[in-house]
Amino acid sequence: MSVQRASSQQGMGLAEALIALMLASFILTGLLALHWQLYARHAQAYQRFVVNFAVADLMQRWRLNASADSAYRAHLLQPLRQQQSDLCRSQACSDLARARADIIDFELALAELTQPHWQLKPCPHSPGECLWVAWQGQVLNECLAQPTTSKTCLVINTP
Amino acid sequence: MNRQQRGYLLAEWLLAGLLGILVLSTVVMSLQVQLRLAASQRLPLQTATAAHWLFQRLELALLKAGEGGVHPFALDNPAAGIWPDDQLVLQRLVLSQELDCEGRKAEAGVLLLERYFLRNDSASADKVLACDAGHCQQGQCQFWGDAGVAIQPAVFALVFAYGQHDHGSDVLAYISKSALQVEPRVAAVKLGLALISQDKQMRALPWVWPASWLQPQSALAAGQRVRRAWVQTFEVPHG
Repeated sequence: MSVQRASSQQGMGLAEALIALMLASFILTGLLALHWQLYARHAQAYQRFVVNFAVADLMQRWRLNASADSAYRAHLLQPLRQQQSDLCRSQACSDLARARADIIDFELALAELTQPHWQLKPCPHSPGECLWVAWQGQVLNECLAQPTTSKTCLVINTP
Repeated sequence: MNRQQRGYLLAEWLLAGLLGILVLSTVVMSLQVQLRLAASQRLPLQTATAAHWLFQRLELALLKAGEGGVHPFALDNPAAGIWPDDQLVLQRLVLSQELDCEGRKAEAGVLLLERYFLRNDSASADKVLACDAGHCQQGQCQFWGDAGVAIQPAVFALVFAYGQHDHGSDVLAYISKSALQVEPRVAAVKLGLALISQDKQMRALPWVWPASWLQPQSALAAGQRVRRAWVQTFEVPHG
């Protein structure tokens, strides 16, 4: 009896080996996907901090220079990339020049993000105009459709 | 039975060993990549979280500075002394009993001084952001001018610029503390904060100061610790 069993059990069959490999690959893929999701969340959280710092700073500067309100709105509609704002950092500046320098600093602060872009549009849940900032390929239209759930866009009330 | 089951051949052992080594080295390499990725994402987030907390703390201190009709930066108080430009000295009259930045009780009516500055860390080669508090009454200050308490480790730069309007005009200029006048009022403070992570990444990465940084800085060598710098503007309502 024992001799018959031994001769019929000569190792794993191909089907068993394939099932074992498939299960192992499922588990490994799942673990890797979890890791990647964790990294993506860390990156998103950091990028959100960067945008928060930049937007909070801009809004504070805007409030302090309220007489140049229209200049801030105009410069936000037409980005001023590749320009310097050194003079206004340490010297006296007119309100209009300061508004321009503040927008350039805002652009510089967002420069480390992938494809940052912004628009002034009506606020989603309150009257008035909001600054909509999107990054990492997020299209502002998607942000407009789901402003509260999108992970790569931020909506802030303007002063 | 014994004749049929003679165990593995040497060649089979060698092949199995080789395959095992290949699989193990792949797993180890994959883990290394995962760790490197994890650190590269986690460390910037840690510095940003620390900066956010510090900005909140300093914003609150700036909002309260000048309460009770005193000068928010203690320019009207000779007992406060003269400190370097990279130290923020705030002053306010305590309206009801509270804790100062060192955790001591300050009674109502005390003129409270708080000084935020960088100093060497006793536990590492880094700098820490420290706060020293002094309680002044009738021109005499207690607890003032010591090393204070550390409130944030691994801070490597701290700069301030004070927004003051030119005399007789509405033009605002951000100037250093030594150029500050008692009048007119200070409308805002720009605060530059640079932090370095306490943990290391696996690779040394170059880092440059952000273009919007308040002062020109010399370049830093590449390092394994993550560095980040931010500038924030805060209003001084009692300026």
